[in-house]
Amino acid sequence: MADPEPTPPALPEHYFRHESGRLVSVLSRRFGVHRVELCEDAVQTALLRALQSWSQRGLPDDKSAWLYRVALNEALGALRRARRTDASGDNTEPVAVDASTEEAVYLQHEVRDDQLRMLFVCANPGIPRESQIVFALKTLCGFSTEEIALRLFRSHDAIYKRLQRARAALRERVQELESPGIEELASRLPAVLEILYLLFTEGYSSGQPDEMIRHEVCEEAIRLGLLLAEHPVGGAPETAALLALMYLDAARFDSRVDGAGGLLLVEDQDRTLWDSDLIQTGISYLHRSARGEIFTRYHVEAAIAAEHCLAPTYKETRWGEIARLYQMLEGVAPSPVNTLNRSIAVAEWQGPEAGLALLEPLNPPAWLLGYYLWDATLGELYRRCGNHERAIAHLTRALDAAPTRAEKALLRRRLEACSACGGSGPVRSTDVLGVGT
Amino acid sequence: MSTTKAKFLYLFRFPSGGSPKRPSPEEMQAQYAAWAAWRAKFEKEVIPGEGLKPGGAIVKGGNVTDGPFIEAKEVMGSYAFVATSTLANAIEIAKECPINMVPGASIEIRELGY
Repeated sequence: MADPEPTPPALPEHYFRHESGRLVSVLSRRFGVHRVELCEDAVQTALLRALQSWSQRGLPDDKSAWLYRVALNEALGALRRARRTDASGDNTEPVAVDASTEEAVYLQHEVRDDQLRMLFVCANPGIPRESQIVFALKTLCGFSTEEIALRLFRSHDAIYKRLQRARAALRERVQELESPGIEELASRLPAVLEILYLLFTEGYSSGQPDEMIRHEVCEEAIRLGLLLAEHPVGGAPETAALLALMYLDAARFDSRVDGAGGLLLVEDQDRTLWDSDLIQTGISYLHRSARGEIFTRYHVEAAIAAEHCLAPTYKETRWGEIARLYQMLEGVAPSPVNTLNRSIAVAEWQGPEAGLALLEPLNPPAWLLGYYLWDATLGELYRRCGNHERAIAHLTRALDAAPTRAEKALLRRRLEACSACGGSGPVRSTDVLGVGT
Repeated sequence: MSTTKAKFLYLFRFPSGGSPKRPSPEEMQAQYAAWAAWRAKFEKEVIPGEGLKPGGAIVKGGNVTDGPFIEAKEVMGSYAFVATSTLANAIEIAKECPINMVPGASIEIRELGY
């Protein structure tokens, strides 16, 4: 028998990055969230040490315990050095530990609790929203600031500043952070869900060429959502609803971009590319979300995503049902954006005039007037009513304001179709509209 | 058929002070994958050694100098043995080693024996 091709012992995908998130969470619980930077440095050193050792000697049997042991010793050493030299007043005695018994604590459910606790820390109301997301990506997901900057389309400096703002807020709130038990933190569940929702939307609403790496942000939102759902504290119906929404949107990732990297509307997407496993998972979470009295925007948005996923064709989509759901969404989360979305569903259901009738009496706030989808939608509806003059005016404005190349390309196609007074097909996409604002 | 194999020592040297930019966990995992692939490819040749901790000491004429040797531009990070027939082969194996992706790092190759 021929020798099999030697295969190197592989690490699970994103092992270093996820292990970094686990270790930072565990160490921060032990040494205090106000020392999160010290913990991050200790973890970084442990990972580097692992890289050197494992590269030469191969993987140890107990990788995670190996990392934990090194990171813990590293953190303890750093604390001791800080205590000797530091006059900053951080004189809390690090409790002496026996690394071997500590290692036994590094068990699955403990680690999960610690990560969950860190997720609730991220949702601290004292941290600005955009800093919360960056902080979560750094501490819980193990991304570097450069990697975050790349995924969120912000400069490295902007990301760094947001991170510093989060750390400063946490240092000021030592007391508040250390005292509550995880059950008390449950009151922050809505804020935690909001973070996951924003994380997912950040990764989802883009048609950039580097779409793939942004999907990692969505994967992280789902991973943390699952972590939350497994825990008694986080396993609420609204968590299931958010997971349903994320799975049903993720199911359509691969069909959203055409061969040239352009963004495709729902009607133009190849439905055979939709991931039926993810749709199934999403639907089962949607069922699980339907218990108790709680009814959130995540429930409605997941139901809308499910309508799209389950419709056999674009034409056969139940637009009346979708219009009704958007109306419910306006009830739980009042926003003219939801009215905008409803008008599109109504236009499909009862014709473009009915859609326009919803928008024309609206007195949209300034930010919505500057929002390219406002003009894109009005432009398309006017085009379908045969009012080409108004259509071109709105589509031109939308084209100017569209944030990404893919979206611009899409609008240019619409505008050309309109100028030629030909073309067909309505502008309609929950994808282009995002999952809400 | 058997070929007599010589044994070579690889000394892995890295620029002192570490790399200017700290790699992210994802980058470290990519580096690990490259090393694992290299070791798997030359499984029959490469015999891993140990890592070398920083610091140490030099004894010279009975006088002791403690590490770390800050003035040194590079530090020895680890070593390994390579069993192969010729120095040329040992060089080829070293050329494929992922250490070449680390700026300023090097492998010194020495044949064992007198």
